[in-house]
Amino acid sequence: MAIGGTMQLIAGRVFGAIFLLISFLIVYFFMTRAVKGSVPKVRKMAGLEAIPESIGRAAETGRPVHYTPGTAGFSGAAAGFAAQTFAGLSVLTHVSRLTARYKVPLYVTLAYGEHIPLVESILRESYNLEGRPEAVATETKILYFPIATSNAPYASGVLGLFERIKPASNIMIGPFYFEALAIAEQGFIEGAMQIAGTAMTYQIPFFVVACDYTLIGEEIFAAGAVVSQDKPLLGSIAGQDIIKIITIALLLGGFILQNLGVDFLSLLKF
Amino acid sequence: MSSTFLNKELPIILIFATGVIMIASYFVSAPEIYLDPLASNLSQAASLVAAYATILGIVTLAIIHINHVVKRTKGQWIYSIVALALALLMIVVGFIGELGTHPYFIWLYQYPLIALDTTIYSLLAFYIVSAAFRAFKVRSVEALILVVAGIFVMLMNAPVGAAIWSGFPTIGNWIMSVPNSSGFRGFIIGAAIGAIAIGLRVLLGKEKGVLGRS
Repeated sequence: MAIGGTMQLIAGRVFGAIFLLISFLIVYFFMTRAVKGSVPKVRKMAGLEAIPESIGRAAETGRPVHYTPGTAGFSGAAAGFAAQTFAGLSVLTHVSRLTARYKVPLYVTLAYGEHIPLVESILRESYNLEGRPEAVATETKILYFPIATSNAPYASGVLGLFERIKPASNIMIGPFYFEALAIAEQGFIEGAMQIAGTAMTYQIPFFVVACDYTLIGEEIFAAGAVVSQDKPLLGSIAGQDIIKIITIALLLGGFILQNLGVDFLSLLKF
Repeated sequence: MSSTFLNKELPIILIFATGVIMIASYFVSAPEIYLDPLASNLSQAASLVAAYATILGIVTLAIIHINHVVKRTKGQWIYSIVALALALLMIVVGFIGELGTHPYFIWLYQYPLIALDTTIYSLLAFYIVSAAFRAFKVRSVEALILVVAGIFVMLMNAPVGAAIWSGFPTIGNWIMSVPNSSGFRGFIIGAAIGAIAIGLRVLLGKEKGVLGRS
């Protein structure tokens, strides 16, 4: 489909482009609507509600909190999971403010070097906002366990760390691979209250089994909005729901038409 | 240029422009404005930034371990020496001759490193058993359904399952391809829509964590 000059939409991807554009417009509409005052009510998520409790428990027991925003970088093949890392970083803003408030040591473990400056900046700003800028040097630790041929170096680094620090709370939100179960089980062995969330399909069951609370799939993308209570972000969740309704309508319509002999899938591949 | 512009507005402008170019390059063919090469260069730039960040990470790691050695941190400093020595060994051997092709480097990579990787991975077998033991405690109707489904899928995969009863593989396959697949698809659709929403929030600079803000 020509747009102008030699510029054209790539055949087979036109429906995708239209769907993405409509999705962006819907989300943007609800974001601006929320800014004007129409803020949607978002249901409570048990996993997020439990974060203050788990950090409070760490304060009571005098043991630290462990946090990780997942094990995918921002480039290469893993870049497709960057949205989950962003979600993990958003929740870190909330967690680090709570650890600063309750004076609880916070360990953030990272698998990729490019996460370090972002996490440093988040921790610095959180402790500043809580009026304790000096505590960021003494109460927080960023530990980098670089990923080499597989995620094993990161996994072994975190397993060893758990043995040494015995965290009272283990919060893991972001993309994970096989290390998800290893870390969550070690956290269980150490007696940590565990809150995990990921959109990696194969790791969800492990988190459900090994952790006290699990944020499943899309919940991690809404988590940042819920913890910040930022109006435009909350509005975007309402937009998400509208897109979901459209998608379900397309699925149902496709199911009916396909069974009536109309090749609905081919209609979308223009 | 004000520091507000440099610290707050410029990163958002760069994120927005980069995001729009990358999205457009997937959907639009525009040789006139060199859209594809532009997107490809941006992608390579991201890899370069990540490579520099890795160097930063390695330097940070080295500083941490050197500090442990200097301060003789109890229960740690000897391991720090081992970590530093092995890291240095890999780097030095890697630079001998053509980068990363020396037989010693390949030996260090293939035997100690891969073996250690595999060892950590194999620990999963034990973690899975302990996790499954807890998951399979029947405390509710849902847990009972999980256990029954789990037994059928296990017996589908284990050769002994078909030997006991030919229905195990059939029912196990049905569980995997019908209820399991449909659940997975719903989950993937929801996650993809969530990713679209967070994508727009990132492009508009509303997602604070991305910019390292609280």
